[in-house]
Amino acid sequence: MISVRNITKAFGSSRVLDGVSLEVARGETVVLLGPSGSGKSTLLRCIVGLEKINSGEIEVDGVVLSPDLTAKEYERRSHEIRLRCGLLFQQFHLFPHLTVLQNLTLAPIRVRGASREEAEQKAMALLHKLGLADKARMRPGKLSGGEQQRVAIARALAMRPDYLLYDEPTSSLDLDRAREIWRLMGDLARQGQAQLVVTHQYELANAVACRVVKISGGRIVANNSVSSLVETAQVH
Amino acid sequence: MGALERGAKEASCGVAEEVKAPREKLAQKFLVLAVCGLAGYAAFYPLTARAVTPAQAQGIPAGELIAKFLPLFAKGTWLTIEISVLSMLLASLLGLILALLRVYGPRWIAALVVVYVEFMRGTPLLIQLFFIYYGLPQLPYVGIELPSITAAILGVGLNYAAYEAEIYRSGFMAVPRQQIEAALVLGLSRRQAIRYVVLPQALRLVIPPITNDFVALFKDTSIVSILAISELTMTFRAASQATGRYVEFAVVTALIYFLLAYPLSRLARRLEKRVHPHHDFGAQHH
Repeated sequence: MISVRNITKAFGSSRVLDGVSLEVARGETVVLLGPSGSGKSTLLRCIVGLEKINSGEIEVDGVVLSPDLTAKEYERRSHEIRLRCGLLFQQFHLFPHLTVLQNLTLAPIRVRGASREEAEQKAMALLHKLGLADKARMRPGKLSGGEQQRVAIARALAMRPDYLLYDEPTSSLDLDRAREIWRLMGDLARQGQAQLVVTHQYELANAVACRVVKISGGRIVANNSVSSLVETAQVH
Repeated sequence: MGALERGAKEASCGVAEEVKAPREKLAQKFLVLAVCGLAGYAAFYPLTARAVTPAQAQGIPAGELIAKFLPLFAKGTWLTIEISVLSMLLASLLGLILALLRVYGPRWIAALVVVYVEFMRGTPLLIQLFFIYYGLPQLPYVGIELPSITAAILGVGLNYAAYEAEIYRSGFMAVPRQQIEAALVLGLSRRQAIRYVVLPQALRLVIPPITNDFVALFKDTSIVSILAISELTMTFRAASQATGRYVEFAVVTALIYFLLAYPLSRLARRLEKRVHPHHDFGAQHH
């Protein structure tokens, strides 16, 4: 379970997160919906320890981040959390110097100590599943945005994360490509992959979500089921 | 940088790819012509100069004179190559370490690196060489006497390391911060992220400017002749002083330098085009 408890995060004098609490259970997909600048990306970055929180607590399956830890301990625990959570970015951030296959095998080999053959075999299986097998030897730069995001998802899945976190995963894609990704995310949700998706696209919430949390101005403003969202989203 | 080389570069600067190719070829043809002309001139240089030395008095033809000194020049050339390669090796390795420390190291070490880089770039190579060769032995307690060639390699290498460090640094800075974040999020340690994600991308970017610097370093090794090392420039001085025939030997020496440097700078340009196919940055020079 990811458990965010009353955290705040400020950059200088501006409070980006102001007492946010949130829970994501194993196997659950949660969509965090909010306008840009509402602090939702920062929340994800805090969960995986890319940003240090100012107060409150984050707990992922028993690993707790709190601001009074030493820098070294904070980093160590963040690393432990990252082994459980994959994070996907709006701009994908694939490694341009590696092939698609190498993008998928880098972390399993270097972090999990998998052998190359084993890592490649599993990576190829994943690429097959996501319809990317024919791109395995290509560099990411040759792929379309939608393909790149699918590769990014495959790269994260290759580490078998308990939770997948998405930061605006389809905001830089056109609607057709976005829908492909949403379908994929829906499939993953049905397979029991826990997901926390940050977005301002309420269509995404509609297509994927089990539960929708709305955030605005650094605070959680609503914690709803999907059905209640659709009406509010249309007003929004 | 020689005027010829500069001419060749200017001929291709800022011109669209399709136009550039024929122009560059023309420049190359022009170069070959110029080199042949100089060589021919040297070979048949009329013996009208004042008789200063025995060699001239005896009226030895230029070609024969050069032939006589050729083994000496071959040795000098070899030594120049040796010094260049070894000091460049030192410079590119130390430069990489310095850049890593500056960009990713603790703040106080980064500050020390800045001091080193600025100091090495802000003082003349000649003084640094003098200090290493003549100064070090005089230092109390640490006084070490180095063989002149070692001193030369060390001096040039340490000096160029400062420049290479800056090139590497620009390479590291050119790799987006998000690349490190993406690697960290996958569970890689910071060190692994630098090693497997940043470094390969940065190296690709810096290979052309570093190759360019190698050309500059190669020519700059002529300075170490001041330590009485019989590399190419020293050989030139010895030969021309012994015979009084400066023109012939200057041409021969310049030609050797040029024939070695030019292919390298061509290579640098080609590498540059591979990394930045649509730009024309031009060589760096100090």
